[in-house]
Amino acid sequence: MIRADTVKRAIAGHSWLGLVSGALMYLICLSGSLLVFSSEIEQWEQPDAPIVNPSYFDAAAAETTFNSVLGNSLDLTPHMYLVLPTYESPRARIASENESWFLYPNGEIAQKERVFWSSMLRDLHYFLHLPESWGMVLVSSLGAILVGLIITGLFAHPSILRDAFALRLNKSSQLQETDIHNRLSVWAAPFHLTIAVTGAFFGLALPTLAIIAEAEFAGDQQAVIETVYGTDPPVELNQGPIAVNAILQQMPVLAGDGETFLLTVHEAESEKRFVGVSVQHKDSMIYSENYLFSTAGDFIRTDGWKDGGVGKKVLYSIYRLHFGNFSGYWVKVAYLVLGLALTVVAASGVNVWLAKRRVEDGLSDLWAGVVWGSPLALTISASVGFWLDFGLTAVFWLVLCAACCLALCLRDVVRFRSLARRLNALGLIVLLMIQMLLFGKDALRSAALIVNQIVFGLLAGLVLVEAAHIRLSRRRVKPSVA
Amino acid sequence: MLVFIAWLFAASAVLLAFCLWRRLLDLRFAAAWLMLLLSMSFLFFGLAYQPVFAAVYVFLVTPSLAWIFVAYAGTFPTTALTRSKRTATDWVPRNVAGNLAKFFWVIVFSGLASILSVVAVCNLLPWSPIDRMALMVVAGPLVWGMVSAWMLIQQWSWRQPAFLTVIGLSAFMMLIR
Repeated sequence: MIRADTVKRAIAGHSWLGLVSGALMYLICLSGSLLVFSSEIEQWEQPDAPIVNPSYFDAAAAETTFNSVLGNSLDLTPHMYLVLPTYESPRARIASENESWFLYPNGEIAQKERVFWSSMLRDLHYFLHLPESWGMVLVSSLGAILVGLIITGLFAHPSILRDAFALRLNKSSQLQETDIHNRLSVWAAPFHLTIAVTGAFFGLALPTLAIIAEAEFAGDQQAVIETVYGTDPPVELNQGPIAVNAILQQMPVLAGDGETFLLTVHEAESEKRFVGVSVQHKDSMIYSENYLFSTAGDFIRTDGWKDGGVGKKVLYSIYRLHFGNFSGYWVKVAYLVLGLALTVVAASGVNVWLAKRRVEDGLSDLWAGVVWGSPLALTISASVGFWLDFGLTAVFWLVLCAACCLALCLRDVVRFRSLARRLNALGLIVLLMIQMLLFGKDALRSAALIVNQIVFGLLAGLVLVEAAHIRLSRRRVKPSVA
Repeated sequence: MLVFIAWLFAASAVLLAFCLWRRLLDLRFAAAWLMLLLSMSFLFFGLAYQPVFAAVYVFLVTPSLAWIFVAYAGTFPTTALTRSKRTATDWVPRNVAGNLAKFFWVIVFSGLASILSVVAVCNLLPWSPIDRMALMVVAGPLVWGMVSAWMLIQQWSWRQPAFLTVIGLSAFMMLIR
């Protein structure tokens, strides 16, 4: 039994931690939920890109094209990629660290890849659009804060069993928000803890490695990285063409039923080139096993992720575990739902604090502006992203600021929420229409269809919620019999 | 088939929890039965895939099923709820300095002390460097979150910052020695 004063302090601490991190946590959860479908969103941004069936991919033709790109020193970056088609992402690309071009099934170069909105979304989730180095540390620190929130939240909830299935939406707005907050957070707490720890890993790994380097490797960070990732394989100085076809033909023997999805030329700008082929194994959580080859196609070794020790496997499993990138679409849908639940938890947590004050003021307006303005900003930036090649980050923040200003000017939270729901619904309708008008049938196939179905699902949800609010507001309060 | 059985066990666990909550059932050692059902779900997911996947599936399936029951048991409003009174906004939070100090101790300093301590303690383990590093980067944020929560839940006094300072400095000394 937890003592009453402990519960009281846990509630106060939980509120304080939630208020400190609320808005940032909300943005990270919202963007992270959508990023579960990052591969599909990238395809949705350009549904007219050539589709390449993995079974009919012409590796010999791709080899010629890839080598001609590698021969052009103007396009070269230290790493050059040949992205191979898979059943989940049936597209082939040649990419540098800066740009990417699609390939036709016959290996010829097609249009340039445009993934500006998904890049903006990724930057929002990873760095909150701040400079990368400390933006990532800030976002990762929020993972640790989420761990703190989960622990204080559990201590703050002594009636956790008594309220396990309680959802009282008909009493007061405070109880309404509290029940939504608690039911979504308590049941999904183990999942949210997993997301918090794996999320904190990305940004805290580098500072932690710096401490390890100082403590164990006399400040040599490269030595730490080599301990984890291994050293580059010894290769003969070679500027010969990359034997893509010969390498890929070896993969079924080397990798069994693993899915080969990427061929990377390392040290592409130097004479010490070598090739890494990444293979995803369905029976393992690790992101990939990397098979290293010489440019002539001689197999050197693997990076040893799949058959390595526990530590290696853990380090290389974090990404897939965090983004739900395993076991296909149903896991992704579940991650989306539970991620959106965490987003609602972040929003409702602040709503509980606002409702407890029993007054509405500018803070209530501002928070409503952040909560409803963020999805609107994402929708509008996605819509203009089909034409704009730059400035989507500015569009996002401008729309968010405009939504906050509108909420502050209206001075009526209920009216603003209703207006924002309608604007969000309108934004989603416009987004679907743009997809249909720009891409026609292409918008209704493979990954584009999946994302458009999600957009339609969100639209339907918004319409239902708004309809319910309209119905409630039109009903008069019945006078009591007494 | 194994996945179906795993789903069935998870659904049974949630259904049992719901029946107990509604007092439709009175069962001795109810918590043990619930744990057993969830463990069986984990076991069958593990047989179908692998333990890591199984744990995630149980984490995904259980809340998804529980929320269906939550929605079923929910009471929904029939009229619009009473709104709070509108007041002027007090934009400047009270006790800014106190909150900043709290932010420094609870978030920044506890983070630093936690990461240093985790690295120092993990270094003592007789494991390979890569296994120790994996533990450090996973345990680091977990310990940070726990320490922050501990500082918030405790009665605030000088003892907590002092304790953290001692721990952090000891870890630091151990790392640079």
